[in-house]
This record gives sequence, structure tokens and C-alpha cells, in this order.
Amino acid sequence: MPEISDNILFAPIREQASQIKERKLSPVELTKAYLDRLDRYGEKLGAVVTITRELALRQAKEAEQEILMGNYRGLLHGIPYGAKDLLATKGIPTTWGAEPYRNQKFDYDATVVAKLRAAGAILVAKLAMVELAGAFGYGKADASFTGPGRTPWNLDYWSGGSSAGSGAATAAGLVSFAIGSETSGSIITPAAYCGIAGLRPTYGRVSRYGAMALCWTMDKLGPMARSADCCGIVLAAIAGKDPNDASSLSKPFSFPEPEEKKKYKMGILKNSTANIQKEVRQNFEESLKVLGQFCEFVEDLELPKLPFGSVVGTIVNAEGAAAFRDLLESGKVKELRAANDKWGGYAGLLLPAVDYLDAMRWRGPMKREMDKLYAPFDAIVSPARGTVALPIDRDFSRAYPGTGGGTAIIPAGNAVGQPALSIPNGFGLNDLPTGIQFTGRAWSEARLIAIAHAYQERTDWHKKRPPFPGKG
Amino acid sequence: MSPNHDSDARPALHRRDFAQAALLAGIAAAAAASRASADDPKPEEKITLAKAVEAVVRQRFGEHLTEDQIKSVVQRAQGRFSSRPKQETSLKNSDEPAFMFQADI
Repeated sequence: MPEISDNILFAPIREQASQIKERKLSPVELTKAYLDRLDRYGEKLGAVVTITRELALRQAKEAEQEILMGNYRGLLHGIPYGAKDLLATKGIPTTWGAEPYRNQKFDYDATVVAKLRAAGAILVAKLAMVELAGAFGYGKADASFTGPGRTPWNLDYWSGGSSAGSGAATAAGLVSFAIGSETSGSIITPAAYCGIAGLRPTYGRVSRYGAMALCWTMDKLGPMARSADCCGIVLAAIAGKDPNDASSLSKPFSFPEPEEKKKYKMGILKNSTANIQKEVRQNFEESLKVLGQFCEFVEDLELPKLPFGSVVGTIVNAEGAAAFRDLLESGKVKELRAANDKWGGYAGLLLPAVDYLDAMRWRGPMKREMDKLYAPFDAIVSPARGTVALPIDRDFSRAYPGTGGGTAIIPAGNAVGQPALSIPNGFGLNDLPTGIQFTGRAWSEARLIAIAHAYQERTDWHKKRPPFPGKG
Repeated sequence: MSPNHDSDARPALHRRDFAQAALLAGIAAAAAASRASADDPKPEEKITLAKAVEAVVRQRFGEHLTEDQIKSVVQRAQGRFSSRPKQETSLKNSDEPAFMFQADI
């Protein structure tokens, strides 16, 4: 077998899989190549907690033998990946990114990890994350016991949170794909800041069993990868009903869509580019020109005038405080890294029960109004974030004065459990990547992927490679 | 969670929030009274929402927090107590919380 080139390491899953199936690419050699990069670059990116070398090599050898014997399981067979370190992995530390849990181990695998193993994927690393997935309002990039996650496009800038390592490791070619999680923005943001694809599935699409709970009614697990198509391949493997997670459902996920539509109907929100960085706006407008080749637009849509931000805040604060009540009441929370995280959770413990219940009551009307808005469209498109990646050395509130995060589409979509997909669409300030986001009705992931895939067939932003680490 | 979420307006104290504040104020007043008993008598101190919240924070978590952190917690919690946004539409009695208890295992 020839040496593994960067072209292979950065290739999309479908291409790697094709070579593996045809026995032109060894899963063992591919795994060794990613392990080597994780060793060399993972720490510099603040992207890695644990490299699972022994397990990975064992799984890779098994995959290789099976494939040689003609037992090819499918597109993920022999493909190395990393898991955000909030997913339980039997016998391997699962730290939740937080000092108080750095020696924590579970004796079982999260359902997502078990499903990927069944599909033949190879776990090469547990990836860094913002401590406790940002439960207590961290406010700066240095909020993990492994240090800040850094985007490989410029190491002075954050890779986004809370799936910081999943974004950075995928973008830098340290894994073929990764699993991230989102409660409100934690997949979409690092996907945008790292120039990769990130898919937040519909709430209930993917089992949460074995994942750290920040917010039971809003946490979602999803793929982060080189392209929309890669996300679809991974989602197909991890989706489905799980008896261990009562919120999971067995809704069909038909990927790819049986028939590609010739023309998609796309909504654009009023003010979706208000108060955002100039370059982000320009890239969004350029993207609309490309999308215009196969989409018809309806502009000036408005989100329902409902309290999405405060509802999400109330629910996350209440459920987060309950989930980590022992950490707060024991005072061990002061071992967390970010200054805000040492005290931010206590206010959640004082939240009146009726406020939480009312926030949960709002979710019904919100679902109905959002679905009414989305029903006529295949998707609504917006900038993924209002700015490029934030600088590591500044509090978030002081990073880009005068610019905001864009519309309330991230909290709105998360409040109602809708899916979203972010893909890269250019570069902005300091040559950092920007992203475009497609959101849709519940269970419309395949449609979002089809639209994003059609965009990526006409552009090459997803094929760009970051300057770090350079030629491997 | 990612940073910079868009937030909604934070309007004035709502009736139910007032009740909550009053409850807290009661706790704070009791705490103040017990503290004051051994001190020189002072003019009756007005119990503000901030003082009420601070008393609860000190009582429940004070041992784990610095003075600055206590101030921050009070500020955040106080914001919550007065954060019920006024909406163009409001909840109806029939709007149930978006979760369901199921008796079967």
C-alpha cells in the first residue's frame, strides 16, 4: 500500500470508502496516518483529550480483515472518526471537557458510539469540548481543561463551541469526520468557524443515550464532516429509535433523497444580514447567486415574535443547574476553567419552577408558529454566524464591537428542535472561514443535505485546506 | 452552547415575579432581623430585590463564592426574576409544557 497522502486524509467519506472497498486503501494505514496527525497536531489545536490508539488499531485490523474476506459493511467501514468527549466510551476517560471529571470512566458505550462501531467506523480520538458544553455561560474561548480550541485557519482564533475539538480536528484533517453536540449553536458555530459541514439533527433523530446531559429537552448529537454528503452518510448510521432514550423516534431518514428536485423553494429572513460583519454579508450574497441557479427565493420573511432567546436561556439554565446540582452545591464547580463557569450555574439554582414550566409551555406555540413559517419552503437560508471566529485572547463580548450574531435563528431552531446544516461559503476577516446555514422543518435533514450538496457541487469552499498544519 | 445568543427584551417586573420577590424579601428580612438583633438599632432598611436575592445566595451558596462572584450571581439571578418578557401573544391555559410524564417503564 502506498503512503497515505493529504489528498486521502482530506478526501470526503465517499471517496475514502470507495478506495477501501476496492482494497486500494488500507483501514489500518489510514488509521495510523490519522493517529500520527492527532499525536503531532491535536494538542496545538486544543482539539484532543484522548487518543484511542490501542482501540483504533484493533478496530482497524478487524475492519481490514473483514473487508479482505468480502464482508464489507458499508460506507463507514474502516473510516476513522473522533467523538466529542461527552460521549461515553467503555473504559476510556470521558471528561466532559471539565477538570472535575477528567478521570471519569463509564463501563458502556453511548448509543452513537455503538452504532458507529456496528457500521465499521474506527474511533481514533475523544475530542476536546467547552467544559460541560458551556452549561454556565463561559464567555471566553479558554473554557476547557485542555485549553482553548483553535481553528486551523489561524491558531490565534477560536474553533467555536462547544464542539470545539470536533470542528478543529475535522478541519485540520486529524479525523475523517467527528461527532458533535448542540443544545443551542454548538455544532453550527464550530462548523462555521472551522470551514466544515456541521449538521444539527432534529431533536429525537439521534439517541442521546450515553451523552452528557446539559439540557435533556434540547441536546442533539450530530455529524461534523468535510461536506454535506458526508454528514448524510454519518447521520444515516446514527439515526433511529433507541429504547434507552425515550425522546428518540424512528422517523424515516431517506438519504440521499430518492429524487433530486430541479428547483427548491427557499426563504430568506428579513434582517438576516443586519448587524453582521461586512465580509459575512458579502459571502452570503454571493452564495445566494449560486443558490439562485437551482432555488427560487421568497424574501423578507420574519421569525414569529416569540421569546425564543429567553425561553432557551431559561430551559438551559434550569436543566443545566439540575444536571450539575451536585457539582454546584459541593463547590467543586470552582475547579472549572473559565471564570464565569465558577459561578454562572448558581443563578440557575434560583430559577423559579414556574418560569421553567412556562418556558416549556412556550415551546408548543413556538413549534406551531415556526412550522407555519417553514411549511411553504424547502429551507430557510441565512448566514451561519454573524462574524468569523472570535479571537482567543478576548472576552466574547469584546471581540467584535458593534456586530452581532445575526438573527435569532439559532435559538429559535433549537427551541423547537428543528434541523440545521452549516457549510462553508467563503472567507472573511483575517482569512477566516464563513458559513451559510440551511434550516428546515422537523425531520427535513435529507432535503437540507440535498440543497447543501447541490451548492457544494457548484462551489469548492469545502475543498479548501487550512494553513495549519500544512503539508503533512 | 455557543456564545452571543440573541436575547429578547427584558421588561418590567411582572405580578408573579413580584410575588417571588416578596417571598425572597421575606427571607431576607428574617435574615436581616436576626443579624441586626445584636447591633445598634438602625432606621428600617428598605429591602430591595437585589438584597433579597443576595441574602438567599449567601445563605445557600455563600461558602463557595467570593464577594465578586456573589455580586455576579445576584445580578444574573435578579435579571431572571425580572425577565419575563411582555409578548404580543401570551400563553393560554391549555398550553401544556412540552414534555409528557409516562407511567409505563
